[in-house]
Amino acid sequence: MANYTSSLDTTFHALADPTRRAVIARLIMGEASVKELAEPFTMGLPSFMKHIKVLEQSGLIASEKVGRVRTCRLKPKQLALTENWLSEQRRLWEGRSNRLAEYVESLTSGEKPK
Amino acid sequence: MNHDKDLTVSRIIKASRSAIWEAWKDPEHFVKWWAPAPVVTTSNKHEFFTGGGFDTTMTLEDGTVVEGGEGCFLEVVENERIVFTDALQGGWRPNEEAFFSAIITLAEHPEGTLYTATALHKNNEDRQKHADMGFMDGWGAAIEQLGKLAERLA
Repeated sequence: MANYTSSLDTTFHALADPTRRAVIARLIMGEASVKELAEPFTMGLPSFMKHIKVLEQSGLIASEKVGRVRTCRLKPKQLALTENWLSEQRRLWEGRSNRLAEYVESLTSGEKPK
Repeated sequence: MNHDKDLTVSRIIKASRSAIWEAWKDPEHFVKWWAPAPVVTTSNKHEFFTGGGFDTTMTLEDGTVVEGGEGCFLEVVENERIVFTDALQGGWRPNEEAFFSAIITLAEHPEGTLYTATALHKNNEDRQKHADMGFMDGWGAAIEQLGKLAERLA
């Protein structure tokens, strides 16, 4: 659980930045080289590489260097984890509400709601 | 609301607000619905008033015992509203860790009661810092898109 939570913290941190979100949005369309990814931004390549590194450490993306070109792609598993966290909480609360409803309704069945 | 770590669930319960209130108030009722069977909930403390502590233990089917830790009722307004959190314990004493606050509301409805639970989850420090700096715009849309993508790819 601790690992799961810290992994989520890293993921949310990684996504809490407009540059990094833009990179993710671009990679949704398919893999791209670091050079291509950096193009829309005014920052220098060293600064941009820091963002790429944060995304890689979070497990949201992976990159591979072939020759002089580093290509980045999304890693869907970590994205699924981010989504699952909220879905799990939703299931928990839906479950509780449903059980409460069934329980109270079984106790009061026959009584007209006031 | 509007935070991306918050969620709301609501449903109509075909019973009066006071019947639902009892199911919350009385620990004997409370343990019957809090966790899904076959998990057995034990109530160690259930001070159902503002500032009161509550504490449950869950026993799983294989005998594993999960301590819930003590939480705190922040607001208890009969037949209307319950607010509680795991950030504090009874008497408003802070806990080490905080994860959520929850707001339960009961509203009259022609078919019974409209029961709404809203859970507000902790913003981690980084996220809060970024929010303070105005960096959070578009976060919701991003998560939503990513989530949809992840579902497709998973």
